[in-house]
Amino acid sequence: MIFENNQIQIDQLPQVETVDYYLLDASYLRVSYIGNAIFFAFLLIGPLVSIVIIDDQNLAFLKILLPSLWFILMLFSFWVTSKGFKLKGYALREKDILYRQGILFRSTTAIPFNRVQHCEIKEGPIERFFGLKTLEVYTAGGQSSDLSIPGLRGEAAQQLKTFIVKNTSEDESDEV
Amino acid sequence: MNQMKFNAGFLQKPERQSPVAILLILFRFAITILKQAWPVLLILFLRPSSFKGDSWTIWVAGFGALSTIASIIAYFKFYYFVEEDELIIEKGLFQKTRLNIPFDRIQTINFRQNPIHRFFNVVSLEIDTAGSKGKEFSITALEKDKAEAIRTFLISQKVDSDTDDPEVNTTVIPDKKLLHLSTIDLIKVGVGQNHLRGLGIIIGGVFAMLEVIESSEKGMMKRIQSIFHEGQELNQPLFIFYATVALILFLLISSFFMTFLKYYNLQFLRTSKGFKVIAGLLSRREQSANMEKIQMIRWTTNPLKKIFSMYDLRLLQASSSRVSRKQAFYIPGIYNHQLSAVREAYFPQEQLIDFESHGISKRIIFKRILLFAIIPMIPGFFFFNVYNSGFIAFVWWLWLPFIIWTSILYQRNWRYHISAEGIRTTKGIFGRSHTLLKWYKIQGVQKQQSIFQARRGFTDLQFFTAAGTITIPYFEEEKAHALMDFALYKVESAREAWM
Repeated sequence: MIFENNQIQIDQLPQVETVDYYLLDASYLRVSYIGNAIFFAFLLIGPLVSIVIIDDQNLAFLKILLPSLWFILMLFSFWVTSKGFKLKGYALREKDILYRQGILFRSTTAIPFNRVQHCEIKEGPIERFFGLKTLEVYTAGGQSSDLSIPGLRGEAAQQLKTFIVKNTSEDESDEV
Repeated sequence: MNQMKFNAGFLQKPERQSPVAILLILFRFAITILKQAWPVLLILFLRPSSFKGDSWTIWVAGFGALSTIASIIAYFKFYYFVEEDELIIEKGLFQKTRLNIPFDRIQTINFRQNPIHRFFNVVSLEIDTAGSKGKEFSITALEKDKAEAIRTFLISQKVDSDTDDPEVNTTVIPDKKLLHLSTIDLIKVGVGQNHLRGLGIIIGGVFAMLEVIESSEKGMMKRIQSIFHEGQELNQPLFIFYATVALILFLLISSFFMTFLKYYNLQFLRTSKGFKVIAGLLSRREQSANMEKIQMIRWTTNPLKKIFSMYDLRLLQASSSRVSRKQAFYIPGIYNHQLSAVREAYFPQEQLIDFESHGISKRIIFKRILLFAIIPMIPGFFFFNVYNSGFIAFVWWLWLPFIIWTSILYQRNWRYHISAEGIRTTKGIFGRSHTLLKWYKIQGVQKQQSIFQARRGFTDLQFFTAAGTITIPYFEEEKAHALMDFALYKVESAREAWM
């Protein structure tokens, strides 16, 4: 029972890498943009205040530095959002759900159905406006392994949830 | 263990806890207030002029009366009972809270006793469920017999809902003592403790005190400064020497003190269901870990403990929040043969079968140097005069070689060992930390890579369990894919109950 014995087996195992992912709903990109815009609107307060209150000549450079920093960060964030959107995706397999995301940090997460505790469908105010939902998949223990898939059409979210719950409970009925 | 003991009416009626709870709640109030207000109180005592008049006695009396009333109300408004297959706790006067604990969600049931508990022979019962919502349940004071009965009842109920085969559980194996820390072992554990932790507490405390003193009382700061000036006039090198010796002595003594307090008379038992630990000088804690609840086991050692060939052992169990040091099932000072028994229980044959051993990529050395040395050192060029000699400059220039050295050690020591049934990781710079995980305990796998890693074909691989995460850094991508597929296959084909 050493690892090499399984080497052949491993080649024949279903591969996460070869799965085709569904992209998130196109309007989720707009949701992300709006979220970004709101965040950076709040963040603008800092630079604006600095422009108004800084009198000291020695600190005058901050008046330019802070707004430009804000601007660069904003551009960067929007760029990451637009690029990252196409990389976000989910896939269902018979026994697990996969979610892929990230541009600077790419990640692929797999949660087997027989380890899912429960599922929830959530929606934020901006998402609701576009008729989108977020599916949350919870596992036991800490938050680290909880999965959240945003940008799902209402019916898609419901179908996903039903599918996962069905598979979770099927598995449990096997065990008992 | 015998289920016949519980008639149908057990715990059906709402019951109150032991009246000792009033005292304990009051005690907890007092501790909380002291923790929050100690800097203020300290100032009051250092500055007797503020004691003018008797107003402070009124304050103390008022606080005392209010807390007592609150404690009594809390006691009378606290009920626990069983409804169908849930344990219910109801509490609160204005904001009524009802906590439902389904039996099959219960992960661990622990007892805890502080000196007040011990005096009245009551225990506090703590129940942990592994829900994602991060809830924990506790009953402040219960007569010991009753607490035992409730625990046995809850466990038996849980067994009922888990399996159809109660006969398996009726054979009661007597508890077997695996480890009993002798005084000599306790001293060894005290020596091997991380003494720097005490240093952190001292520094934190001093800063907190200085801050309070400075903000409220300018004169005090001056007084302290004058003490330091006197010290300087005395003989600076000698003063620093004495101060250092005093500090080291203090750290050692405080480590010893804490060790004795926490681990005095520690007994580690193998029970029919799993493991149990009882320890403590003033506050006795009793924790149990059911075999199937244990997700991973971790044993660590540091250079000091290595001298005594001792390990620290942690049984990582499913828990709602990130398990703090206090809650973790932790055994300090375990020897190799005792450790072997625990490993064998969690993972039969683990020490006999071959594990395939791998290292991680050397690339991680560069990442660590960049992250821990080069980036943090950049401000030095701009803001501090690091080119002159001086203590800060000395430390600053030594930092880079230190990080290079430790990063090389880190990479060299990081090993992961794979077998068909589980994975074992070994890491550490000066000490070693070993973690053992059976594949089927995993509940999620994640591959994560930064763009830099992606370009070079490396990835970090994370195995999530209900008791924490194992991360293997800088993994060759192809190997990582194979291992991810394999881990998922093992989990999805597993039939064992994993918690």
